[in-house]
Amino acid sequence: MIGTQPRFVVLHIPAWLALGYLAGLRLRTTRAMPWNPLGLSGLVFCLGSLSFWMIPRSVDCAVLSPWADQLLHANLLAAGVALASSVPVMPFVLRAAVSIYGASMIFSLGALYTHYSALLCGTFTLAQQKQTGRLLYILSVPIVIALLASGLRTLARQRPGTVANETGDAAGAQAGQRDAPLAENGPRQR
Amino acid sequence: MDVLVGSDRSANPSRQALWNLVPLLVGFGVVAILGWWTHGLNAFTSYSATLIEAGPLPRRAPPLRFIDTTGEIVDATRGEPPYRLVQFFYARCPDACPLAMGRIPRIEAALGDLVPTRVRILSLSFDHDSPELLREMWIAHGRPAGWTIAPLADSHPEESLRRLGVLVIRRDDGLINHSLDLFLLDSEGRVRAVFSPDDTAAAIASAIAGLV
Repeated sequence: MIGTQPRFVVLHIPAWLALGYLAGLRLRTTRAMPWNPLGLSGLVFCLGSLSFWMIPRSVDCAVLSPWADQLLHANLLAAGVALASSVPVMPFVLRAAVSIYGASMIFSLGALYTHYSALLCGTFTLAQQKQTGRLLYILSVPIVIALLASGLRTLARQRPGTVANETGDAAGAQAGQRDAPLAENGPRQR
Repeated sequence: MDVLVGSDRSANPSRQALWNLVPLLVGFGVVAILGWWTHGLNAFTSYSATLIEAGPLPRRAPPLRFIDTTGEIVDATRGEPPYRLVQFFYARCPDACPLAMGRIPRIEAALGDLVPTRVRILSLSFDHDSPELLREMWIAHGRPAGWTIAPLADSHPEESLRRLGVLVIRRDDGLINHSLDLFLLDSEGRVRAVFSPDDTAAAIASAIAGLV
């Protein structure tokens, strides 16, 4: 999957992160981790890992060195696990901010790869760099739409009276409890 | 489905206060690793990292022996004139090298009388291009007196070039990705200045004029 830049950036990195996330969902404990207050530890680790592997020098290193490639796999798996254990305990505002930040980063990366005329990653070609940029542009649209839909759905769920729900959304429960005295008591919407 | 039932926060507030430091520590760790890897957020590409790892300026340049137009092997870090402006390329490069070489005539023009009396411009191939082919390229550029296009004599120059600050990555499809920086060498074989591909010809000429 690391033969071309589009495959590396658009498939390889997200695939390992997603595998880690799925593993994290499976491994998740039933208690929020004390070392992960508001999901911040896992979130910072995950964002830091992604930032590291988005650096062109890191990409080159992963392509040229099998050791670095293995490190990438292990790190992104761990980042996915950390993200999976963090998302349920993150407040809605934090989740929204991180999601918006992620979408804007994908869009910005697309702009950079599409319009920068010099080669950023030494192991790929300029044509692949521009192709990656176009793919990231295209990807950013459904991601933004999905985020909007998810945000609206979560907002609708966080109506007054909401408690820990079936999806294990403790943050939603906390938000619902905090907002309860300020809002009208109405039927819980799904 | 799992249901989260809270943390130890309410059970032991002082311990939780310590746990609250963990995100900060993770953040410091992330910043430290990113800072180390990018040389203080200065090198995000392999090219810029190689340049920084070569050392601060001025620094000693490794020997850069090339085959002159007369067939003689010459070291680009020695001899006359006192300054050499050196770039690296390969003849079958489809895009970047022709663009990089295309600005040399503009730099030469901007340098004016400094070329060839004080500065010699060298375009050196690291891909075993024949002297005849490179001479044809030189003729195609109008036989400029102060600009030499020649092959490096070393058949495996990657390590020497890396010590100079030039990264060369040979791809499986035959393409070679490499740094496009220009290096100004002085008569003592030191790298005095490095110019990036983004620098304009006027800016490069102005900087060289100030140094020589």
